[in-house]
Amino acid sequence: MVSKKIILTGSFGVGKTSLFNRFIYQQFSDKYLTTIGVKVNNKTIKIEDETISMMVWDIAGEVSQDKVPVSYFLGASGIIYVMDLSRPLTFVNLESDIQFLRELLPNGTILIVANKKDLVSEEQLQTILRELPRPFDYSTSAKTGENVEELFLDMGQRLLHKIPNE
Amino acid sequence: MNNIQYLTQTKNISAHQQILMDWQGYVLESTDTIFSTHLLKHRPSKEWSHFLESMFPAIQLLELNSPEIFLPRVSSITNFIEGIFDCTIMRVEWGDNNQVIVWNIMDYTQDLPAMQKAQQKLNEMQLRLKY
Repeated sequence: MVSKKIILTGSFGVGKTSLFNRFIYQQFSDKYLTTIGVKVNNKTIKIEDETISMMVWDIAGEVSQDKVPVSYFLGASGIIYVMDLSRPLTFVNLESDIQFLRELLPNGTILIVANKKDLVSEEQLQTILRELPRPFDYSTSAKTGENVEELFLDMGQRLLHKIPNE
Repeated sequence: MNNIQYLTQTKNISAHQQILMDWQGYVLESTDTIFSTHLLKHRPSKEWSHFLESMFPAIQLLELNSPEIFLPRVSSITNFIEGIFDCTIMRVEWGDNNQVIVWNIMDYTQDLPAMQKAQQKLNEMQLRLKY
C-alpha cells in the first residue's frame, strides 16, 4: 500500500471541512463550524490494482496562504486549493496563493477546486471561469457530493502515476 | 526563545508528553502523560496515528540536531484522541551512537472551546462582509 499526504487549503468558509467530511465519512452538514489548526484523517482508495492510503490534512482557512504554518506542508504529495464559487473574495488571492504553494511543493500535484457549485447557476459558473486568472480543475459541491469522489480519485491517480501539473 | 520555551511560557498547557521512537516509528520510551503507549509499543506508529504516518517522509529527512519541526494546533495526534495539541518533532542522539525521534506533545485542549468561539465569531463576521 502507498501512503500519500494531501493538504486541503484555502480561505476560511470555502468548504474544506465539508469536502473532507464528504470524502472521508460521506456526510454533510449545513452548519458552519470553523476549523482550529489542522485535522488529519485517512481513507483508503483503490486505483487500478494499487491501494492508496490518502492521508488528508484539513487546515484552518486563511485569507492568504502565506499565513498557514509551512510545517503543515512537510511531506505532502498533493494540495487541494479550495475556493467558494458563491464568494468572489475567495478568488482574489488565487494567483499569488498558487505561486506560493508551488514554491512550497515544486514537485507535488496541486488541484484548484471551486466548491459550492450548488449555489451558482451554470451561467454564473462560466462567467467566473472567464474572470479567473487561471482555470479551476474541478467544480464541486460538498453538499450534493458532486465531483467530490472524482476529485480525490483524480488526485490519487496523479500521485500514483506522478502526473505533473499542466 | 525556541518553540518549546514559547509554548510552555505562553499557553495554558494541561499536559505535556514526550515520546521517543525509533526509525520504524516504534515507541521506545514515553512519559504517558496524555495517553498510554503501553498497548502501542509493539505496533508501528503509522497503525495508530495518521498524523505521524503522514509526517514520516518529512521526519526521515530530518538531520541530527537540526531544528525541530513545529506543528501547531493539531486536533488529531492519534486515531483515538481528539483535542488540540502543539507538537514538535526532532532527531537526537540517544545512548551509544543511537539516533531517535523525539515527539513532544503539548495539550491545551482546555482552551479549545474559547479558541473555537473567538475564531467562529471572527470568521462569521467576515463572511457577512461579502454582502
